[in-house]
Amino acid sequence: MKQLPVGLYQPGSSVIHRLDGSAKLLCLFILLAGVVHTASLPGYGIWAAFTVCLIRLAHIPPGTAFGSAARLKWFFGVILLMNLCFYGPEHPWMRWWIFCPSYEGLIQGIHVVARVFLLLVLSNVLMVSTAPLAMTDAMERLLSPLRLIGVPTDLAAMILSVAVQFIPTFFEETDNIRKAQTARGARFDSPKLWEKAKAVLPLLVPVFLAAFQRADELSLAMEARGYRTDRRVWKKKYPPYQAADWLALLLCAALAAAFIII
Amino acid sequence: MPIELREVSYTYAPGTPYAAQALKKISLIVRDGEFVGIMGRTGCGKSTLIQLAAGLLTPSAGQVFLDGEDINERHFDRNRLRQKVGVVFQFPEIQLFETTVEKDTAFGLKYLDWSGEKKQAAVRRALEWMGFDFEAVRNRSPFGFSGGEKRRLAIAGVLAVMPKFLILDEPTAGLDPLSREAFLELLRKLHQGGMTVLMISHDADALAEYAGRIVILKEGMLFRDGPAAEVFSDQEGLKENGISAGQVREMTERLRRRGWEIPCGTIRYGQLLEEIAGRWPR
Amino acid sequence: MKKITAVKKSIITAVCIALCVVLPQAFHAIPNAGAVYSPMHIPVLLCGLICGGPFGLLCGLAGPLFASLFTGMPPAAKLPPMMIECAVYGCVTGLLARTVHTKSTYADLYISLVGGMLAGRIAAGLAKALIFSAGAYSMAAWAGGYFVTALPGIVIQLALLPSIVFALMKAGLIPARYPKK
Repeated sequence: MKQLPVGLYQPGSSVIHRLDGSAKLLCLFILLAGVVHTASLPGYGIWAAFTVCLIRLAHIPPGTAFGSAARLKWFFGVILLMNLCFYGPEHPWMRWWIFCPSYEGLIQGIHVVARVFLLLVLSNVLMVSTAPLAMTDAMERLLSPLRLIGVPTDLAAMILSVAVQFIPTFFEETDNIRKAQTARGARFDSPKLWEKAKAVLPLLVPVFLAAFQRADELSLAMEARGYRTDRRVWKKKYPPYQAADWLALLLCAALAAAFIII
Repeated sequence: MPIELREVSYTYAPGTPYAAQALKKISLIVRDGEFVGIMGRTGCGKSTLIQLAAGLLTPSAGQVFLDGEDINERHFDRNRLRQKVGVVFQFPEIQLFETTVEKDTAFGLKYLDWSGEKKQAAVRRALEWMGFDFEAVRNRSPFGFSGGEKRRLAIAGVLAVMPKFLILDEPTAGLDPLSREAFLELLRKLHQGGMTVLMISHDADALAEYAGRIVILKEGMLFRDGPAAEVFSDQEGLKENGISAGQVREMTERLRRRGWEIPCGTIRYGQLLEEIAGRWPR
Repeated sequence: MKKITAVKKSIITAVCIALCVVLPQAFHAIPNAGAVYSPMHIPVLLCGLICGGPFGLLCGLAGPLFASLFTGMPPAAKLPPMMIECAVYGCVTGLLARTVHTKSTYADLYISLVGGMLAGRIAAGLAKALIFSAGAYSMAAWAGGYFVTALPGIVIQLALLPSIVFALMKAGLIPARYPKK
């Protein structure tokens, strides 16, 4: 697999792209809190307008921004129907068997769909405008206060950064193993349930062996150089927030606070 | 049973910003009983070429024929391809997975309609070829062997199906000199027994010694293709492109510069000894 | 082989997280594989078994997250329940593997795995019910349905994981659970 999957990230230089990853992640959480507390249709309208502004600011093509949410249209349909039919049994339009569609149900359904849709599109904007590595850093940074209550976040950060380095190597290795076994006649599939498990062993066993072999080599090398998990060697320095980062946080906080208070 | 590549191109990740054309309209026929060495610098498309020939990649354009049949046709019987064409990848030892050596070596025979005895005989023969005592190793776990032994076990697994066509990617990389020699001798034996061999190698000495024909790729295109003596005789041309013609050829060249009249096509150790010995009175 | 060191546990966890990203892609070529094998669960369960609960927990949280970040699969909508599911897998399997000692490697393995997988699926079912239904319809039904549809996956993983664990032990990459004296 010389073609590494790149996920959603699309390189760019917009204002949104340039914000600090952890600031963006914080903004997302703040915005999501606001969205969850929204309780009226005009409210969702404001959120939708805001989201569209964000997408324009980040220069994200609409297809990319809404694509993953649009693919869930059947799921949204089901949610809407379920809520419509079961939510408000007090004042239904009609009753038939277990179904009792009502106005309250319809509104509730629209709320749930709008909420999930906004959640998806907003997190999509973040993913599209932030490189995977920047995201990892951002998460480490946001989680680092947990150190104060005894969670070894620096160890976790070390583990995550090692994991990231292994990903491309493993892609290539797995692909080589798959090809080698295919050349030996492996089929990786079988109509019978028990045989299905056996059919993928020629792929899985070598992949795990190769991966653990690398883990063995790397941990030996780290121990030989004196790395110990109980000592903090991996403490990272994070760059301070810029004015734009603070501004974005403030804006999001104000918007979310408005919805939570109302 | 020739393998023919007809104007084959291959592009990785087509349609993305990462697209890279690995092969450009390559045509190549490998005939029965040939021993072909493939050379070229890293990234020249050698590995892509053999994977296309073995049907592990589908060409972006062009066709691959086995016995005159297009192997990428819908109706083509892939099982036949797998049995006829054996592939030894770089570091083949990673492909071991079964609980015993016997089961692992027999893995490729799984879908063949051979009798139990025939299968066991094939496994025994393949393991003995690779220098193992069948009775002593058959019930051991393949993971309990040393690195070099594991590689020989993995190659036994490829040889067990008795492929007519054997494709190898750098099989001698990382082997100690004795194992390398033994392995190349085994290849020679298999080749003399009628197996067609297609081997990628940076080891010009090995190819000069064993391969009858040399194919050199450069930036996804055929750069040289011909009898080994002919291709290696143009030492300068190869050197300019970062490819060695082997130590024997190097010696020949030095002697020639000193006025010895040794033909350029002297590429094997034995040949060179003959040439030198022939010049001295008894 | 000696006991596994904390450094090695950390690196094995890193390797398992990376495999959470790689394996689902490798299984793409196999028809229906994602639904049948849930390839991402295998490294998480394995990490729990070998490295214990806390490392299993980290692997379960980071595995799906990284997969989503680096490959776009699972999509963001499916990520939270999946993270909960995998985190519980890794954590519970690891805790059980630490506490259950029946003198038989197989029995220990199966008990830890089944325990972990049941807990994870129930947790994921509940999480989904909580997120999407807002109390409107039966939570238990949703959790139950989630569990029943996942049954073939459980059977397959129970068949797969011991084979991988034994191969790793044979290759000397992880210590045997009950070393022969």
